[in-house]
Amino acid sequence: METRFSFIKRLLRQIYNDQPSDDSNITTNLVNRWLNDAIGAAAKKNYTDNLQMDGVAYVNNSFYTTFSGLPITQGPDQFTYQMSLPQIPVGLGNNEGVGVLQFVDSNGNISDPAIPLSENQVGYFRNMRPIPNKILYFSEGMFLFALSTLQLNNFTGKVRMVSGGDSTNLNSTLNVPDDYMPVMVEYIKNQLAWERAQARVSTNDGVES
Amino acid sequence: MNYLLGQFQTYNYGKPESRVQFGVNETARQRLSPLINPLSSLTIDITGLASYPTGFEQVDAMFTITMDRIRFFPQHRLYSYLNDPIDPINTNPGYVLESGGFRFYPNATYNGTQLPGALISYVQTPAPIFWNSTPDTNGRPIYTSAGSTGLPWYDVDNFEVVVRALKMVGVNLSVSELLQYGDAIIKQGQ
Repeated sequence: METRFSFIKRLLRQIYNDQPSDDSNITTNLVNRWLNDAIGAAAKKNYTDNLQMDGVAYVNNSFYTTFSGLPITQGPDQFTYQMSLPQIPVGLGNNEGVGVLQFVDSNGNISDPAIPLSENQVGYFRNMRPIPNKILYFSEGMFLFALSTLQLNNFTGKVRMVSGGDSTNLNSTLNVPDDYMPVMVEYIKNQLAWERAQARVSTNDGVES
Repeated sequence: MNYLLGQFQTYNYGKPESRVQFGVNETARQRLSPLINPLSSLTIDITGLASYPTGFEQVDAMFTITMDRIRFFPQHRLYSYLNDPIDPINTNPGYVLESGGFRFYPNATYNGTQLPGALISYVQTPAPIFWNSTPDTNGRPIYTSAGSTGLPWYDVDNFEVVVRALKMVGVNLSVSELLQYGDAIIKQGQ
């Protein structure tokens, strides 16, 4: 297992061929931003790999992270509740973005998982026969909308989604399996090596450099 | 110092950013180490200004009081550094160089966030080398250690200093010539 920070340091060592200097421009925060893209690229690779190997497109469990304690507020429409996701879900093929949504009350009691709606179903589900005693949900950008006649404001959301983990905490574990680390390393190395290789004007001044 | 020990840094025209930092080369570092004291504190006012310390020649390293880095900001990139959403200025401080001292960002005047201080390692101006003497009864100057200031460097560098000093007055003395002379003495005798 590797934390985000140790993975970033590993990349920096490779890019600088040494420890980065104190005034280095390729900073930890910058690499952390690229890391989010790289996790998406690795998840996509895993999705297509699985399709080729198993004939079924899915993202392996190793990529999933559960986020809990998401506050729920009244949504824009009647019987709609919304919560903000830690990140915009990956846009992989037949994937609803958020794999599992549950509700937790103040005593820690957890509901059954809600039923996800695909992007097409969001358009016509109100014309369908309701599923008794089930809460429906769909994600849109960084928001997750839950559709229910129950008051959900008093609960918090618990979601399971494809994510590399908590991008705001550099000491968090990077939720990517080792066999997909090379995909991320190659992706980030290409971006940052390109940045490093940019020519800098050193003999002239007064021009943008 | 540069005349005697050599030019440690080269600069890009118009940019106060050296191509090679002091810390890069261990030999240069070793030579300069007598002129680099342990970290000392800088007091920063609400406009972010901190005066240059006594005998200041060149920044070696700059840290916050919790040993996080403080970067040098080239003046023509200051706006970009101040408005960088990836490395927010409040958690990624820096400084520019002005005639009155270092101007640190962030500061209370700029955005209300004040750095509590900074730690600096810097190259100091060496004390002037002075050969003090007192005249003897015939008026000849006799060296006296009181009031004299020697070279601050290590012996191996002192030799370099002497060689360069002699070069400046027109005497060419180099190791290769000394060795050649020594070889000649060994082979031919005096």
